Amino acid sequence: MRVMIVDDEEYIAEELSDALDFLGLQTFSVHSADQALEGLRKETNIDWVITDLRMPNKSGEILISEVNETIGREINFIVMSGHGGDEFTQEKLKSSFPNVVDFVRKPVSFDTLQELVTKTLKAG
Amino acid sequence: MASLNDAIIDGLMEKKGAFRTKCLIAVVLASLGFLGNFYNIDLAFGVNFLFGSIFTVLALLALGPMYAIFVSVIASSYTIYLWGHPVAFVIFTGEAIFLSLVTARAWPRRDILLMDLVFWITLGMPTVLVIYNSFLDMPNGVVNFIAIKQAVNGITNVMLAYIVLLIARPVLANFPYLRPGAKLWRIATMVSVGLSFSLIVPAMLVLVSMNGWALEREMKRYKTQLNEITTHEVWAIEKQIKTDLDKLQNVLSGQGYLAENENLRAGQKALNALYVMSATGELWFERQFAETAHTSFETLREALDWARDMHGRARNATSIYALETEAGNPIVVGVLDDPEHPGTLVAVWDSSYIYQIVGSVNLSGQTMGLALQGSSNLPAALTGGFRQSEYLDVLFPTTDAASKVHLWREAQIVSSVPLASAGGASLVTFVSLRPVIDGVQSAITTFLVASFYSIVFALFVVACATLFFQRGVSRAMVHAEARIKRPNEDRRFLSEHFLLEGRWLSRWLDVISEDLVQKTDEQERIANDLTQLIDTANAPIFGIDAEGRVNEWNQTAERITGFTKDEVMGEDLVGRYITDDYKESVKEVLDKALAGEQTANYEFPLFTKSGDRVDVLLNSTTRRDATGKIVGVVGVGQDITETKKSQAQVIHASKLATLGEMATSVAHELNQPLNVIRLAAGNCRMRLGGLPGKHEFFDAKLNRIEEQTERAATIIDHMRMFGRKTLEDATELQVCQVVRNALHLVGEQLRLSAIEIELNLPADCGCRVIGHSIQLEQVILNLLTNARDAILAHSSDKKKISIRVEKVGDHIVVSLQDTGGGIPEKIRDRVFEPFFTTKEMGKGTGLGLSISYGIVSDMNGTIQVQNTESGANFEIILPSVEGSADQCVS
Repeated sequence: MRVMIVDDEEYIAEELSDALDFLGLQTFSVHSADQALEGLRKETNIDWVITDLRMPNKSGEILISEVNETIGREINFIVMSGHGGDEFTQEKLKSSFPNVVDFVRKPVSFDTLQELVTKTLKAG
Repeated sequence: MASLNDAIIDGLMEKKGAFRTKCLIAVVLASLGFLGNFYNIDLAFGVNFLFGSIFTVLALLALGPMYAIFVSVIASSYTIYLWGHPVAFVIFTGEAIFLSLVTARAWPRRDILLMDLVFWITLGMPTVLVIYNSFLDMPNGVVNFIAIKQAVNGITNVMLAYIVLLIARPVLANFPYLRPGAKLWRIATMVSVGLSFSLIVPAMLVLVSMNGWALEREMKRYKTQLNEITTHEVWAIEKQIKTDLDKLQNVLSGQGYLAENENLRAGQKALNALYVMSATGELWFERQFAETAHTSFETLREALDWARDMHGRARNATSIYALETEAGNPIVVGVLDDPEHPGTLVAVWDSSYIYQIVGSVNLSGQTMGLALQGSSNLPAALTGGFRQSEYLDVLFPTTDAASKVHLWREAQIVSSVPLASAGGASLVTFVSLRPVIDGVQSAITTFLVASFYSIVFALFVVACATLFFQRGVSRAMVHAEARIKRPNEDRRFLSEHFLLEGRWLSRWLDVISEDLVQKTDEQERIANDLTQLIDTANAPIFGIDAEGRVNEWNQTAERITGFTKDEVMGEDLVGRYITDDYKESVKEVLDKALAGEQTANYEFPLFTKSGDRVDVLLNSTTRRDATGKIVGVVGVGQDITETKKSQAQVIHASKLATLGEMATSVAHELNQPLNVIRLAAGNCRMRLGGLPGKHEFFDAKLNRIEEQTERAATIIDHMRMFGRKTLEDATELQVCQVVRNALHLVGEQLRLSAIEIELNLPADCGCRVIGHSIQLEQVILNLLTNARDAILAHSSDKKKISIRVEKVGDHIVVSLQDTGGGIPEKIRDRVFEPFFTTKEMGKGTGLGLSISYGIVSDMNGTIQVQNTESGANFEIILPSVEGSADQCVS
């Protein structure tokens, strides 16, 4: 299973990648929505994306909508945000995009990731 | 149009009526003027005081210039007859024209009296002097006298005209067409006329009486002189007749009555007849020499008979008789009865005999003759063209040519002295009165000229003084008149106010008193308005007197302080009602205001009756009385207690908002590195687990890193929450439900801390507000947490949190009271500031209350805290939403 990690901050993407690798997932890190779209087109075996919401140029939300429109396969999203606690945003995303599966609040702890991998990714 | 025409015609008719009335009055005045000249007073020898020009002046004042000239012409025409020349007529008409011209423009701008004086000095008197001297051939003294008389006469008549007006005033009111000049005097005219009258009347009286005395004295002197001369002549005549009779006797005796002897008549051309008769009356000798123009022989025989008759009755040695012939000429009869000779000699002479005798006596201009009966009834032959005055020994010329002015000058003064013999014959002498008149007039003219110039000078001074006075009065009047805004005057003023100034004064007083009444009313009204305004003004108004005692305290002041006006009046403002810390400064400000300095926007804290403090922003103004003396200070205030509070809240809120925005961005920026650190630490820990050996130390340290980032994340999370903008729409909340939810979350914790919860929720649960339930829950959680911490820190005996939700008016009040000992007063204002905390390091973020504050503010509510006996009492006040009283969902 390959998971794409989208975060404009390299360190975060890298640490996330490290953690997921450690947890036994294959990761593919990109640093912007455009890179993510390109990657998803090329690497057809990626069907999970963990994305940050706040990014320069294109936000996570736009990424999700563009992916849904341009990529002809089902890809699940886990949204990661400093505003993860905001129920309103979560509700809005969930209702707009059915393929948003879960939310992770920054800063993400290793334990949270472990839980996420066990509960969502491996289950899905 | 018809009515307009009618009006014009009515106006014309009225004007015509006025003109007719005026003409009638003018004719009456002219007639009176004529009569006034006719009934004149002869001052001295044909110099007459005339009254005609009184009516000229009256016409001028009452009717106008043209009428005055008309009256003057008619009235003075009499002088042509009176004095026999038209000079006076011309001068009087000139006077009328002059006065008309100078007063035509606007009476009473000029004083007629003064103008008349000016006329006589500049025109009248010089004309009289020139014309009388050059053309009427009169001596200088007389002309001077006449000129002065004319001037004084003219001026006196102006005054008399005024007096007439004064007397006729009650009647004048009935003539509406008269000019106001006739009815209305200026005060200066009155003064001028009064002073002039009092000057000129005594002067005139003195002059006339002086003139009379002088004439009498002069006449007496002249008469005495004339009598002396006549007596002397009588003596001369008697002496001559005796001599002639003796001579005739001698001739007759010596020559034996020679009738033919022409010597009888030697040197005696006037001897008409000579008779000698016996004692019994028998005619012995008769010789009639000639008939003359005056005597016939018949007459001579009659004379003889008469002499015989007279002689028989009273025999004297020598007798002289006078007889009148039929022609009216006297004849002189001399009778000599000498005892030494027989018979009585009778000689008859005609009157020329007398003139032969007195021919030697030199008396210029004299006429002389014999009169049989003294001077009382002089024979026409003697008086010739003269008539005898009934009262005086004066003969006036009877010729038509003798005009009145010449009458006295051509009159003769008569002296008659009886001859010594019986028979009543007198010698009459008349001599022209002209030297007497000239003497008298010269004598009094000197005096008159001096007096006249004194009078003129005095009149001039009077006129100038009154003009000067008038100028002052007029100027004052014009000055005051400018302030009188009502030019209309009613007719009553004309009839009731004799003096122009009086009329003006009464008008002025009317206006002033009316204005005064109006102004007083207005001021009263303003004063009432002001009092009411002060009393009901929505701003507290305080006033103190110069001693600092309260004398003004309006309703708003009563309301905000709780003290009624009655309670505070007369109390010391600073001493009793100012908070201690402001006493000094307020007193200073009030003292300054009492010294005249204005103070604006001074903060002025007062005690209320209940002991609270009210902040008042005061603008104080010095109060002065009418003289400018400072009598106190009045201050208009503004209750800024609430403003101050809300101002503080606004500042606070904006401070919080700024901090909130900053916090959000800081949170985001910190979150990223924290995320990296945390994940990195986690990755390290995991990898470390896969390495052989013991790594407890690293494990622990990495754990700590993760924990501490967790802690930092919590803080950041709080901060973010504090500043976030909620995108979600606010919904209607059940406050009770939110409270229950919050309690549900922390209830167990509280129970474990042995804190009692007293919940006081309304039964109907109609307490609904607009907001976000999570946020409000957060607020209540914050407060509960704080309360718990405070109670635990305070370690009080009673551990209790009371929560009460109630509806107060339009608001829902959630109060949360603890027994944690309260918040120290010093920091009470700061508890809502972000990062302000009293908790020990690591226990609180210092953001809880500020976030709560932000949330409540977003809901348009307020949160505040007070200290109670046992602890703090937080109150959340939120605007209530009206809605159905749903049952609470527990």
